[in-house]
Amino acid sequence: MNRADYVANEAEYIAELEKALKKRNVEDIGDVIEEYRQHFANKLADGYSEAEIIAKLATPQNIALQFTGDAPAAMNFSRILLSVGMALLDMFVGAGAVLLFSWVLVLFASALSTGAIGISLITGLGFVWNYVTMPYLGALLLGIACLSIGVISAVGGIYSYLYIVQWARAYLRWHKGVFHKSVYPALPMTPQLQPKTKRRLRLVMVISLMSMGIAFILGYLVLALSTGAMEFWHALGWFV
Amino acid sequence: MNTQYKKGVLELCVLCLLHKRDQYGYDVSEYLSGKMDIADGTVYPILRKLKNEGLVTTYLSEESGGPPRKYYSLSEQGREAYQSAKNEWLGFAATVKEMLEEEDHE
Repeated sequence: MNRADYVANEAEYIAELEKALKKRNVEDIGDVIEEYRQHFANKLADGYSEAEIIAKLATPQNIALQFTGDAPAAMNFSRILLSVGMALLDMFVGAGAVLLFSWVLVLFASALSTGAIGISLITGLGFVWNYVTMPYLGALLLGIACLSIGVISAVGGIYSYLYIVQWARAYLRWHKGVFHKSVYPALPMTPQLQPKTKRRLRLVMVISLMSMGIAFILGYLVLALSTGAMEFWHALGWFV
Repeated sequence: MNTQYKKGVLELCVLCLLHKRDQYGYDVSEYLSGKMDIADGTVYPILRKLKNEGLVTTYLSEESGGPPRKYYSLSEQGREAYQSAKNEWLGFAATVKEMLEEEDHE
């Protein structure tokens, strides 16, 4: 494995290395050679002799072989087909990604609007009161319910966004692997969140769901009781 | 040590070292050569491969009194790849260990 016998010094080793790299069509040979030159320089500075350094180094042929593992393969018919196929797939996936991101926008828009309605009901500010009237307690409860729906939408938007981004990354990683035979495992399809973040998001979601349910039911009861009608919105003259 | 599984694991080791902090290629090489029975110079091809895959980036350090030297650094993609490869390896190693030790108890 060690060729201290036929490579006598650094200059010869580097020359052999360069020859072996050229033979295997390695890219950026200058860069590689420079790295090995620096290896020699550092080792010498650390007190080793040239002979010792060469003895510990793998052979130039062996090293050149390791640099070709990821060489770009020759362009041939099947690779061209592969590129065309991937390009077509990319177009579809790109369109799909736009669609998915629109879903996220929808969720956030919904969050904003229901949140605004909720705040308007609770604080009496804003436009909602132009359209509906009701005893304040009912408004407060329905307002809380709306606000909760807003939060739920927002959390849904956050989760959706994280999932879509992770899918995009996993797709890109796979895409790269198709051309470079990457050794690396595929990326997981679920977003890799910190446990703390996951807990917080889940907590917010659970609280909003509960407050939405409770506020909505209580609000309905309050309004139905105060108007004496099951369909209190008719009694209050909404939607007329 | 068998060279077949050494090769794949070496990449993981390189990522592990870079995860701790940015380093010169030489330092990574020296550290691993010291810890394992591998020939010198085998770390540099690994660093290049990781760079080609976008897991690692390089930058030159402006050093006083000497030519600028190349620092290797984990990219964000590299950090993710390291975590998942690390977990995969640890899980795998635990399974193998369990299997091998089970044999002793039978």
